[in-house]
Amino acid sequence: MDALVLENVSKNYVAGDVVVPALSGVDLIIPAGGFVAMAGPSGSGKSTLLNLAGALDVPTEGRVLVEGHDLSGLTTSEQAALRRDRIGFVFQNYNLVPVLTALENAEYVLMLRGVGQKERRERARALLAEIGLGGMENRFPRQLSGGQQQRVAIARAILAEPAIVLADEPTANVDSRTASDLLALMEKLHADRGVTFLFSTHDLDVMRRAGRLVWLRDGRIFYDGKPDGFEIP
Amino acid sequence: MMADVGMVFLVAWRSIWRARTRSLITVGAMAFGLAFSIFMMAFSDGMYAKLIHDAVSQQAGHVVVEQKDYENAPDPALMVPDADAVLRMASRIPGFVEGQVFILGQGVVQSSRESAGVGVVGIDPVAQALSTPARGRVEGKYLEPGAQEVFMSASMARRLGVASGKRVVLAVNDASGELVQMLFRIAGTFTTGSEEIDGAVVYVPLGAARSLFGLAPHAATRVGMILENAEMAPAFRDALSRETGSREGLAVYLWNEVLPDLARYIRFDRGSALVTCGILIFIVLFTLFNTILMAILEREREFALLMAIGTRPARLMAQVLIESASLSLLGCLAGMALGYGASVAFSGSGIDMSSLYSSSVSVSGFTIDMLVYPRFRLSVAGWMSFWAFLFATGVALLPTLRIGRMSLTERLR
Ligand SMILES: Nc1ncnc2c1ncn2[C@@H]1O[C@H](COP(=O)(O)OP(=O)(O)OP(=O)(O)O)[C@@H](O)[C@H]1O
Ligand SMILES: [Mg+2]
Repeated sequence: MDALVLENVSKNYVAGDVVVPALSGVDLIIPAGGFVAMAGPSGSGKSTLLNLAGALDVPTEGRVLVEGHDLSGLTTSEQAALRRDRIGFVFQNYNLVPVLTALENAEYVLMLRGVGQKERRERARALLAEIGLGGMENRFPRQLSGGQQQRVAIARAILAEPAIVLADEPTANVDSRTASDLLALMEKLHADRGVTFLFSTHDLDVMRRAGRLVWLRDGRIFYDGKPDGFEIP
Repeated sequence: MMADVGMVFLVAWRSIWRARTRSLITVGAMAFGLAFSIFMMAFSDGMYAKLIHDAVSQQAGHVVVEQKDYENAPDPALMVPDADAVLRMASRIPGFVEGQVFILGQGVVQSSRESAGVGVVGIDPVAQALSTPARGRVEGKYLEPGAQEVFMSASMARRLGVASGKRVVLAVNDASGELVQMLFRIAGTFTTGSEEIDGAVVYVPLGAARSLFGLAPHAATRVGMILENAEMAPAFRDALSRETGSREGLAVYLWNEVLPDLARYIRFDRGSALVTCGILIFIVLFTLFNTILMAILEREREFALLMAIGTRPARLMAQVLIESASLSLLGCLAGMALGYGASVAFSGSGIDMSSLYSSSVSVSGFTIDMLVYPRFRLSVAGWMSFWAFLFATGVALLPTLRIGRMSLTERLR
């Protein structure tokens, strides 16, 4: 079963009288277990694509399917339920609720899904320990470094075992050492647990380490294949 | 699906604490506005209680027994034949403090030179020794029980060309309808500052009034009951009505039925005090609206993030509502405590308002005491707090509607 399918997806933004075509006729399939990087010049449509894939926005044309379920025609509360149950999100910054600790942030989605406090605490604690945040469970986001905050965000995203984790430039705000470590963490979660990742990045090293690279230009897919088969402009 | 409410309260508590200054200002504004309003109402209620007490003890009672038609056509023939029997019944009803009897009639007071139409009020001089006229004595002395004396205002004495120690004639129609005249000695004169009393009423002791109007020894036109407080009056009236039935054509009234002008004044004055409180609370609510709106704007990214990961807007609205409701609840409790404290602090010594007024102020013949003892009533304070809380929570609802309309993709960019 494919985790994510985009069929002939277009997205136009309307700002006043101006229509901005952000995506045009995009076809994309991310199979379960994929580890896919998405790159391209600024404004090429990476964030737009991730927002459509994550049911944060609706396409102007075309269909988006998550695990075979067509997202078109979902009500807002059905969209919310889908995000809660089947999607994991990691954003570039502002990923965590400032008044919640690392542990509470990590367990949040499980809480929304109605998992009992004892069980979700245990699962969140174990995962935080596994990804190198043992002993930091009770720190608030402002007491964590940028890289540690992103780790907590990744923990939250995968804890509910989603169909796919969508990460919009998860390494953009950290130094290259930390970026490399974060990618290593994602690789490990992908390898050990089979988590499906689709993430955007501007970082060449990060792109090269992906199993597959999707290159966007002017809202279209310009290249889709192995990273080493493509001369990154 | 009811996901953990614990998390909602945890986030509420930490968010309130995180924005402590703002929370404190919110609670403070609410508490101050409410405390001021509660104190103001306690002050007014204290003033009214004193006014009602003075008025009812001088002319009526919190509850009054009269002949049914007496109010429409005051005629000594329409009397309570046995006032003592009524008082015996009343004294067995909870709340009763003391009883008093009055004989009220119309007549003419004549000196050798002039005459004037007056209301003749028969009173018990001992019970009325501290009434406004008694305290306003200008010359001479107050009435003696059983004496054939009259107590009139200094202005009326001047008009009649008499002074204390002189004699005047009172002419009235007695209970049997006969015109009778009697000679009275002027015991003393007074001034209350109220034309309604000074120009229109003379006082005589009960015994003299009975013989003037030809009434039997226990008869009176009005029997008044002083109660512990005015709020007990309606229940007391009902209990007393059951006792008297409609025996001998008697009717039981509340003080505001026999003193309608005073009741109207109090209703009006209390109404304007409430409007003032309402305006104050409205201003507080406006401030509250702004703070809550600010708090939401500040947290739009947090809310957008939470919605992105699957939180439903309703949950976040409930979150904000719980936060603002907690703050206004705190504000209400603090306001009640402050209002209570201020009222109690002044309820012993009273607040002297006389420096604000150059002369005495009177309402339909009753002077307002310038020493006001605030009277905190839990029912009034609770009622005001309840509405303040309800409005504050309602006001908080408006900015939360933003949450549901927020564009997630724009907030998360
Ligand atoms: N809400 C919006 N209203 C109007 N235009 C928008 C909006 N969001 C994005 N766009 C436009 O759509 C196009 C694609 O934007 P998008 O954010 O998807 O690019 P991106 O590849 O993520 O860029 P970057 O690498 O800078 O993050 C851009 O031209 C952008 O200006
Ligand atoms: Mg982007």
